[in-house]
Amino acid sequence: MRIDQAVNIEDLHRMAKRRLPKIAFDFIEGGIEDERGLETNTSAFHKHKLLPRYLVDVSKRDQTKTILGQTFASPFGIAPTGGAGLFRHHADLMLAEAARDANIPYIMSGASNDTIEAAAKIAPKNHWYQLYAARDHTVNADLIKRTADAELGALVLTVDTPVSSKRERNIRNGFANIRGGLFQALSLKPSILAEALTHPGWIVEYFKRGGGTPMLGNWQPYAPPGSNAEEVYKHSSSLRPFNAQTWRDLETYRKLFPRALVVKGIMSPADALRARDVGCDGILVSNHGGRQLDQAPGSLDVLPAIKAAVGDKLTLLLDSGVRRGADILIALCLGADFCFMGRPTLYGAAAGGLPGVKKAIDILINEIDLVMGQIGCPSLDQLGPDFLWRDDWARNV
Amino acid sequence: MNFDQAVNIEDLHRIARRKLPKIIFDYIEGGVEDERGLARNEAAFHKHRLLPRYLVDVSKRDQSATVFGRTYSSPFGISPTGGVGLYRREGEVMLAEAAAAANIPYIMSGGSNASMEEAVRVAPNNVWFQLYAAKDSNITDALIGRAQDCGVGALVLTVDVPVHPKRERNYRNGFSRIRGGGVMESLKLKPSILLEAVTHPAWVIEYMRLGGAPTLGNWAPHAGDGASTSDVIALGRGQTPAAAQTWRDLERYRRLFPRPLVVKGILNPADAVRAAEIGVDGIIVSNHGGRQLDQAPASLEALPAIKAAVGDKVTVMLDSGVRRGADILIAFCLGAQFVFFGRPTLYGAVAGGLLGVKKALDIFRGEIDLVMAQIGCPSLDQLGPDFLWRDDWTQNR
Repeated sequence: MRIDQAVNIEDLHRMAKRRLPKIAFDFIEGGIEDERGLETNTSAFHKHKLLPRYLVDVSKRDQTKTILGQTFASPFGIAPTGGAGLFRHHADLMLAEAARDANIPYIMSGASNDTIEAAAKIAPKNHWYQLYAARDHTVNADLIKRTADAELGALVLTVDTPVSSKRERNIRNGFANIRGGLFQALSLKPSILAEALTHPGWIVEYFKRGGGTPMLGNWQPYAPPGSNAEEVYKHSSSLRPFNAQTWRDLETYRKLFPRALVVKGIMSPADALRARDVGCDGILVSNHGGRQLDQAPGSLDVLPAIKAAVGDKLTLLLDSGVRRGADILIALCLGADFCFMGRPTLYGAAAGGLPGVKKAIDILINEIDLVMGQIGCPSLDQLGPDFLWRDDWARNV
Repeated sequence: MNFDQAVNIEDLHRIARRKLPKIIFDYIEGGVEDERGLARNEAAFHKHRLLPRYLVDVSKRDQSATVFGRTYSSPFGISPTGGVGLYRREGEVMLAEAAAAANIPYIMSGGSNASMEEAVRVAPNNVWFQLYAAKDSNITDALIGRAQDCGVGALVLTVDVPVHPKRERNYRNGFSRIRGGGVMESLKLKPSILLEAVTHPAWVIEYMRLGGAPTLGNWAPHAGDGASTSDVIALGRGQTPAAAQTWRDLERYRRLFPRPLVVKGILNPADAVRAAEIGVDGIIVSNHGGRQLDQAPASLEALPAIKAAVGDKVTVMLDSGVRRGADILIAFCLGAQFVFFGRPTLYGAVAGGLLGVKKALDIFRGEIDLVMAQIGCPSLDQLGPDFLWRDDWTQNR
């Protein structure tokens, strides 16, 4: 199947799986422990049913959405995904470019391979940066300053990685070795190496760019001068996760960053209120795509409680489990202002580079457009609980 | 298996699948997006259990049902299904003839290949006409005029097609090429699709012999003199869906059509109330057989809420997911006054032509008769919630 034949995100998923060696694909795909959280996330959307209203004029449908002072063409953006350069060389910049062309936000991961500055050059109005804080405050202050200097739309602090989680696929595959140097990869299990050879497209690209782990572009300035990619990675890993980070640190970041500040990974209404009290502009309700805590609820499951707690005082963003345009509309019905998705555009990048990312975005835009028409909702501000079916409806007419 | 050996609808389903090329069968079978709606529709019936009453005299059972002042021999009719001629030439005429013979209503689809006039000629007392409104209100009004002139029993306005939904099987198969017109166009299909089709030679030979897709009988008179089949199909496609259609249009149809007017596709209790206020005679609670909105509730789930909302102000009917006689009785217990199904008689038409359609109707009729006796309900007007098992029965005796 070619990229332009993909009908839905699942098609891109399958194509990405074919192109990537298992060890690389598993890094994208995996959750943690038993991976129940992955199922929790997608099934959270499938529990909801949309209730259409007909004989509404839907000949014009408007899916633009304004958040944090900026109007985007669609109610979704690209969630941060680390190490994307391993799946497709310069994937970060492809994500930025596709986001610019579609006029949606792209959140660059704190573990990206390309730099804040390079993406800002490509997508000056569509680029946000996601911060993994370091144990070294001067590094954090500099990353925040660079984000401000590049005039990015928002700084997104991820708070849900106090520890590196138990991602069993990576442990079994020896993923840490592929993140080392070119020759370290040869110490992988023979079965893993043999499987990788059945994906020659990726292998050729891997060697062409020099093999080993791709450079963590944003962390390079903080490693000793002359460090290679592997050394930068090790240096960055020595500073993270910053598991002594507290709300006091968030207060510091708030003082340092003059523009929109978003906290990503909030799942508790109490934490949401506290983020509001610190003066954050938004929160991204997320369980990190099921990659940090296998027992966590779906982010969609906790959304109504968070919305009830914070009301309109915070911009509410959501990710984790979004695979269809209808999923985004369901989240908006439950109080989200905007949605993000990470794996879908990564599938696109892995499967087909920039055209693949654009295809993923087009699929979601088109699905949103059709479902808006189908349910009788020509503009997003009309969405709310009335568009959701309730099983007790007959008793409450 | 030959169709006359079919024991149930599922047998006809299997025979039909064998007879048709995949690209054609998928059009009958498919839902939208992930096709969760198909499973939901059937599962909605399976959630209910019938509670028999014994030592009731069931030596005579009467399954006749009266709707809009006319008594039919069974409580079901044939739902509109578009483009039947593509599966079985003259398929719609067979549906009409079988409906007349069984004395049940047949709702001819607005997207049918034969015309309403032809159907009425075969079944003067059993044809209802389902209207897909055109963007050009002159055409819509002319269609309503024809329905009035040829004396159909009811006009059924479908409201649940404001957009062409994302039917992914059709996208993948390239179905629009085969529906769009000539034989040459169909040769542009993917080789794998063509190859599979050749394994169903009877259908392919018929398709080639008749020069490709059949015309749209109800649209043909509005395409101008000398319009070719592909002109007519292009007209039908260009004029639908009428995405700007609103309740104001329904008010106009009400004024234009003095006989029973039915709105099909209602799932929202508020929409049902509004239709009643406009003075329609009936509604068909339907999610279009799971073909329009994958996140929609099952029509059987929506039925009790709709019944509670409109009471006896309009005749409440239902389709979507009906595959057994017992399904029809369950819908009656929950408030339906008549039930329709589309795919079962299509399976019959494909499997055995007119006799296959009659077989499908006989199967339903036989199943209803047996289940009525089994539950101790010799006439349909006795059906109600008391015949349904409730899981909380012990608490509410």
